[in-house]
Amino acid sequence: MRILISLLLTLLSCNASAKDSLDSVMARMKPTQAISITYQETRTLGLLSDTWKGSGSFYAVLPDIMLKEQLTPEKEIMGIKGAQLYYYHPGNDQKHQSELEDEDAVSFQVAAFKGLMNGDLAFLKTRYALEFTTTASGWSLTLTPKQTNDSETATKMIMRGLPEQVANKLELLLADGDRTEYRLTPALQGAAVKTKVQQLLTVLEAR
Amino acid sequence: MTHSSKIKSLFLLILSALVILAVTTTHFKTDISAFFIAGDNSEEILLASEIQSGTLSRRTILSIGSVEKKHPSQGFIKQLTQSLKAIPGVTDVWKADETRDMVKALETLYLPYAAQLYSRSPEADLNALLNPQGLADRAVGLKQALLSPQAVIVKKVAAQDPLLLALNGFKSQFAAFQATQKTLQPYENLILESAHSGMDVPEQTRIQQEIQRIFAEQSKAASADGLRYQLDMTGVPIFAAATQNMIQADVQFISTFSTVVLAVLFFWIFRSLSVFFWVSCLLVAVLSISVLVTDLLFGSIHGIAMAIGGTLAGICVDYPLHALVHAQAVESEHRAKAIISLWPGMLLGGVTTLIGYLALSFSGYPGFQQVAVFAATGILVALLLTRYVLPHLITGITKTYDQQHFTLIWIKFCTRFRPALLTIVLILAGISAYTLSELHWLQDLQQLTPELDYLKVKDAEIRSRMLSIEPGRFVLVSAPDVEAALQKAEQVYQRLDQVKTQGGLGDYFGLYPWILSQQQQTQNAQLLTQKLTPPLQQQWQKALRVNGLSVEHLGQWQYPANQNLSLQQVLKSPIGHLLDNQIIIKPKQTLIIIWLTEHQPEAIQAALADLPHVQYFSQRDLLNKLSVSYQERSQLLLLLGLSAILLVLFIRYRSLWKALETLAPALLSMLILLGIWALSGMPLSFLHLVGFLMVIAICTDYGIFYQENPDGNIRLTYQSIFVSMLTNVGAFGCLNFVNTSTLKTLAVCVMYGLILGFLLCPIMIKHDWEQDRSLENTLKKRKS
Repeated sequence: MRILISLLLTLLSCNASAKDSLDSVMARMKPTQAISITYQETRTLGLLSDTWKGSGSFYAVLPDIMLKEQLTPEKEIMGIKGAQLYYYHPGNDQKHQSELEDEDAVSFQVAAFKGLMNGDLAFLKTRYALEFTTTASGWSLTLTPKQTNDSETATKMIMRGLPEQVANKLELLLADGDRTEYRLTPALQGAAVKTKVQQLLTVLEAR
Repeated sequence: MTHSSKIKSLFLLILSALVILAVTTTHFKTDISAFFIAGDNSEEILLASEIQSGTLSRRTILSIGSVEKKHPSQGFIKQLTQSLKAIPGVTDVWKADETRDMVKALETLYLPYAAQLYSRSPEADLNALLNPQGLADRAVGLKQALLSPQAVIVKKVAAQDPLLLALNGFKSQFAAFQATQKTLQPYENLILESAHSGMDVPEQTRIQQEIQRIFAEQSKAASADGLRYQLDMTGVPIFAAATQNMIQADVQFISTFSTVVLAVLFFWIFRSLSVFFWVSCLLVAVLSISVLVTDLLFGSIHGIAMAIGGTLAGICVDYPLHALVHAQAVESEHRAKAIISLWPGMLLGGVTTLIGYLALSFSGYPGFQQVAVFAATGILVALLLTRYVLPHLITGITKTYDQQHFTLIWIKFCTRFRPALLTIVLILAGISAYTLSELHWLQDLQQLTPELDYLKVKDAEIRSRMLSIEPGRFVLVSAPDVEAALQKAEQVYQRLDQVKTQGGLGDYFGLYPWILSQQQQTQNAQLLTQKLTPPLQQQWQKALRVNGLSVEHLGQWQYPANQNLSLQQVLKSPIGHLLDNQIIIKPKQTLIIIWLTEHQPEAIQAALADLPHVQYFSQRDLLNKLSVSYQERSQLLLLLGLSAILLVLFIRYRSLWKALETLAPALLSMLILLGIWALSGMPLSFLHLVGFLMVIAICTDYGIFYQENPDGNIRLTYQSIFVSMLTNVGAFGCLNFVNTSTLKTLAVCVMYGLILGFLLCPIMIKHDWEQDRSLENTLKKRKS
């Protein structure tokens, strides 16, 4: 989920003009090469007494590879490749692999990110209510799933950016009040990112 | 209309009614296991019946792969699943490695019962958890889980069950499924369950055709994705349909081909198609009545019983043929008398054949009880029809029988060189007897159907793509009711855990974590209530604070202990289908099947040896054990049957020597055949025993006819034996051209046995030429 968010941010890290509109943002959404972006994550969960903070990097390689490498407070790698979701926690030596199902929360967000990355506005409109606003202080795009049979999938994603600036913030809101916020800073792009992505995938896919 | 014409018309009328009745009312079965499997105890019998018609039999495994060796798209699989569910008669379709239902069940069904189902060893598990260190570790784990990809489900569980007790048992389940998903496989397996039994071949064939049609349509439409999909299927319905189609094709072929062969033979021998017609009518009457009686007594008739019983036609045709040859040798008005004179010999032949088949019915193969009833009815009806109906059917037929000179030449040759021929035969018999110790039996029943090997290979391939359960091997727990069975299964889990620790077992899949016995659930809840003390709760709250977790939401322990989860609740839930291949509930007996992964059978057997009504079960071993036990019993019964036949012959002839002499062609042909088999190194199966029994039954008839020589004309008698031998060899020879190897085996045994038995009659049975009219007739002919 967070991976997806960060990917979205990555995609949004392209410059937005002062006359940002949904169409113009979507048109500029598709990255031309592999990209990475660093993040600061803050989670506010009902079952945690304090907010939780983490940091790391997001990586994206079109059409369907998205990775999140958390570096603090402890190392953790999550990834999506096609319809597969991978997770690896080196500290616990925990490794999972599962398939994304259409109905679950993560799939809803993956679909959203794929739609955004591919600039497929028609697809997004069939599954999400899109709300794009601009103010003097910046632009904002909110995606709300239209159909859900699970309160957990009633996630609202909000992306924000400064005028004529890259997207610098992504918020994820759940129906039960839990909230995750990412602050984003563009990092690298190109062959170096591709190599890094390959290394991380090798770790995730290894038995 | 003459008296004979009236009888003919009446006979044809009754025959038509019999055929219509047999075709319209008989219930046929084709499942090979139904023919062979019975089981020695109630558990095995119930299991055998379940394998044949229960839930297990109703499932087809569909394995969808791609030529490009890439994982099928989930969109394609989802669409295919929806379409397959819409096929009439299909009750459900699901992915074999489905975990979503498990997660849903955890949320909807199991959360309120965490206190009841958290462990099979509550004392040890609670002691490990309920101490300061254990609670601190659990709090750390909880936080990690809340921040992991599984946070969605963990949040729901933790809100009601902060200690995550409900997840305890499911860890191993998820790990097992995870193990199969570590790499992305180039296929997806679906389970399709139908409302019809796997043995309901017409319905299953229809469903299979629908599956193929839907798959072809959707894979064609999906080819735009760049993947070319392939479908493989396995399961009881697939094997049943393939077996039945093969048997049906063979039966159609045999019925057509053998009819043509017999018609040609009859025309060559009797120069009369009407003889062929009437004898065929007699045979149809014999088979129809046999089918009807067997169906009446057993409720159905098995295809194999029908096929083996059908070869009985070879025996039944002997009586009318024997009568015909003798009757055709005299004028029309003397035919009834000629047939009456044969009656004692035919009756004796019928009784000896009956003894052989009755012996076979005690061999243990359930199907052979049907064969015995089929044969007994057939022999009785054939005898009565030959005696009372045949004379009327052939009254108008002219004397057209063409005598075969070969028979007289062979009789004379045997008479002239009898001592030398006897010596050769006895030497051959001696060598055969010596080589009998080299005979070896077919130990694996599956080898009986090599023509289905392609399905077996496919089956192994598909199953290897699924969980590494050994499908034919499991632990079987039996008890009078569900609760007792669950309690016993819990004892078994403990033993299997020990074997796992010792390395004798990879893993096992019982009914836990889905359900525990009511006794264990009550014990779990009581123990948990006792152990969750206020000081421990304070320790837990401290651990939560240390880890930044909410004491307000997670600090209170509220585990209701007043109600247990019942098996019925589980079976009615969406995960019911995950369990119903593991439990069989009948009014007075419940069976639980515990599936095993890779294991050492001896280790499992040793661990469970002292638990009553618990057995390590290997389907293949059971079949092979049954096969060995049937074979041993069949050999004994064959010997007993032979002794009984000898006794009957002794009573008839009042001379042991004469009785032995009569039996000798049958006995020696079987012995020599066995010797050839032993020297060839080919394994012997129960089918060979059936073949030998038929050889003995038919050749004993030859011996009796030859010995009795009712009208004192050995040439005529031997010619009648020659005719019946020829028609039998012709009929059995047709079996050589079918696909079913079991029928080919039978054909080879019987064909050579009959030829040998026929040739041995003049050698083994000394003929009194002084009282024979053959010579006199021959001389008369020469003079004229």
